[in-house]
Amino acid sequence: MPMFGFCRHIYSNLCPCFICCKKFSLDNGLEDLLTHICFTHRIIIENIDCVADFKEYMEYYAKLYRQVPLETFTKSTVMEVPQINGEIREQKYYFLGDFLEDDKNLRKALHSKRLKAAEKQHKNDHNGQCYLRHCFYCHQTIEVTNEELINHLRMHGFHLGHPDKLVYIERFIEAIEDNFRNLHCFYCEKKFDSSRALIRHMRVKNHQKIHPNNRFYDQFYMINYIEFGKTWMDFIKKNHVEPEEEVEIDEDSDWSSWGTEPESITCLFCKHICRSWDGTLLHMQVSHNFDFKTEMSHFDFYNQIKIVNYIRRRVLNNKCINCDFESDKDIVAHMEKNNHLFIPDKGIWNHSDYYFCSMENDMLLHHLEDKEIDENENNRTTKESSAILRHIDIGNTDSESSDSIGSDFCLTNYPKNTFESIKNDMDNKIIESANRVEIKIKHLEGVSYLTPSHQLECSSEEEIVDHKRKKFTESVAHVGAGDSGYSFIRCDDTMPVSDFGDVGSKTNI
Amino acid sequence: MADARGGFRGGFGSRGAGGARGASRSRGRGRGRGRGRGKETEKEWTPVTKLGRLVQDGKISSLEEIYLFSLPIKEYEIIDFFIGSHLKDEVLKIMPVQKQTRAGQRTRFKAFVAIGDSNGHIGLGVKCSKEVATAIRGAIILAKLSVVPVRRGYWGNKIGKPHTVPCKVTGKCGSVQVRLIPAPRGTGIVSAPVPKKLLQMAGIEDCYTSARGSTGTLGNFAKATYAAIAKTYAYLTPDLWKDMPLTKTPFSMFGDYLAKNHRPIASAGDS
Repeated sequence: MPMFGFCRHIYSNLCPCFICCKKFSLDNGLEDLLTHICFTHRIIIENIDCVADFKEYMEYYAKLYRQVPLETFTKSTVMEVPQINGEIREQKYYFLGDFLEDDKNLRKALHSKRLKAAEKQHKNDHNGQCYLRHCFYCHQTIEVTNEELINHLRMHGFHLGHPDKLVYIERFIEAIEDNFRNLHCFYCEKKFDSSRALIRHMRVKNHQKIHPNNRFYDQFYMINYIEFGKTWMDFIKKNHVEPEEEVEIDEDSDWSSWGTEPESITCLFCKHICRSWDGTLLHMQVSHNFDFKTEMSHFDFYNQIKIVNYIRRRVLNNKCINCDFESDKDIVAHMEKNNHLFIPDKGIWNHSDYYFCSMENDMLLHHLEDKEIDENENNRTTKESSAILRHIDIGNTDSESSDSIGSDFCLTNYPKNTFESIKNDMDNKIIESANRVEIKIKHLEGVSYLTPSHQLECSSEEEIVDHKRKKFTESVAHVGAGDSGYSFIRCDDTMPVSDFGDVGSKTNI
Repeated sequence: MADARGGFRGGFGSRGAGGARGASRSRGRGRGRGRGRGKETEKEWTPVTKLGRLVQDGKISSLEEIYLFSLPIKEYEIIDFFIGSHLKDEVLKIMPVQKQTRAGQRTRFKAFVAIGDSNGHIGLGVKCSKEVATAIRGAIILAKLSVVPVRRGYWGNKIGKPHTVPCKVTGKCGSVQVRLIPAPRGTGIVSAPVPKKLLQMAGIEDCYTSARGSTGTLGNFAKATYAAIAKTYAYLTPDLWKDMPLTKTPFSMFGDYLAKNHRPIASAGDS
């Protein structure tokens, strides 16, 4: 029966029999020596596994044997033994074992000696020194500590155990590498023709570990040195009930341990794919100069859905989103060149068709933000200021309707027109809305007429409208014709646009 | 040679069912086994709770009665009794979790299961165990215990059957916030794969979703969706404003019946 083999490496492998001094080689284990002792000298050693260092054990008894006769330190009994020639002879046999006080102390001493040596070696192994090593699996030369080497091998799939529990690590690695170089699987000891075949075998059969019954490797695990006479198997038998109970409570209902990478999101305009939402936003900002978040923040959830579906459908059909230009390749270039990368007029996409997804599994839709909660908070502050204005029901309070005056005055609807045409449009719209105002105001009695900015108290309805018209034309006069086709209105506090915008509806662009 | 006792020095312990386990482990998530749970062998169910006894004796007509009084359901056979034949379970994911022990690594399997009848009930369960089959079985039981009713409504016109969530609801778990938004008929479920499965099993046909937070943690994502779906019945809409007369709970209605027909088991201390 094989025993701990570490002594093999330290000492020479020859051990003399303690009675006749005949030398035996311990290379193949203790069998030769033991059988010799048993048959020639009729001495049987019990619990040979508990003997930590057999050579020292032998030396001790050799010394003792020279001083006192065999019977004094062994227990002898007479046994019936069948002989080779068929007859049964009674012979005296001598037993050495734990039941003898002396022997027991000797064994304990040897055990603690070995334990100390192992502890010392363990400290050395884990002193954090880096060595230049050649990994036999990936053929890389790496400079690592012992622990890192074990972890490196674990990365390759070789489960040798936790580095802290290992000792004599260098010899361990040597032994494994020897096996590998000789194309032996160190689990099942089968020989292979090439290293590729060996690797494949180990992976497929799950042999990338130490065989539990292979006692040769016991010497490399600290747990075997700790208790007298016990190996890791005894610990397992003793402890195997424990692990089940402790983890039951923690891991069972832990939902957060399951995670994956998020799915890929396609850009609205081009075919660029990104795994993260922020990346997609960044791409659209950088490549297409389109600030998705701010543009979409002006719309509620349903409108966002419609816009995205509209754009997707146009782009998939190779059509520009803001004009009727159609091109089989690179519609994005056209849109970028002509500055058509903006959200078009509401009338274009406000169609119930666009509730339905234009693209299967459009991950972009999942990241649309529904800002209803935030909107409610914002509305509270404007409510006070527009409390009085509600009496004057100018425009609709419905935020969706394009009739609200605020949206009409937004100049991004008129990208290419000149200043004159804008002014004419505005004038017409003012007159229109003024007419509406007049009709509505006529229905109201006894309401004090305040201009929206609460600055002027007018005595009649017409005066309010006049006042507003005057104010608007004043601010329109600030407009200068810019070099690009756009005209801008500087936003003042006195400008009626923002005032109108307060009337229970958000300014829609 | 490959000793079944072991693998202690590094591999995970295997037993005879290694083949089946290997097959299920190598697949990813979402390869659900949607088999209907009609009981093949009628194992006799002896109820332990009062509610269980009432259910078995047929005193309770439907699962909705139990939900009406928010009675805790502690036996999964109760759910099986009412809707067991319609329930379909789906294994969302099986993942091995490892723990480092002195003698190597010990692997257990964690099963995430969603269960639903595609007509108004949904449940979620997770269980960890040494074997895959045990984990799945345990997760299905936990999922059945967590079944909640789902309220469905209309988006626009109230014609036909309800097909979407009645209002915008939001559920939260961990850092993930999921918002379910009503959608017009025919939209389908616009969402990531994991909540899509849950919503389909709940019986919601059309829905938009909006998710915030680290939706990569699919466990929290699924649980947040489940929470959002459960909230549909917690939301007070105007059509529920009408005062309804209070009814008696099953326990008070059948109190005499219980007292007469079922004696509580005598505790060990008495005898």
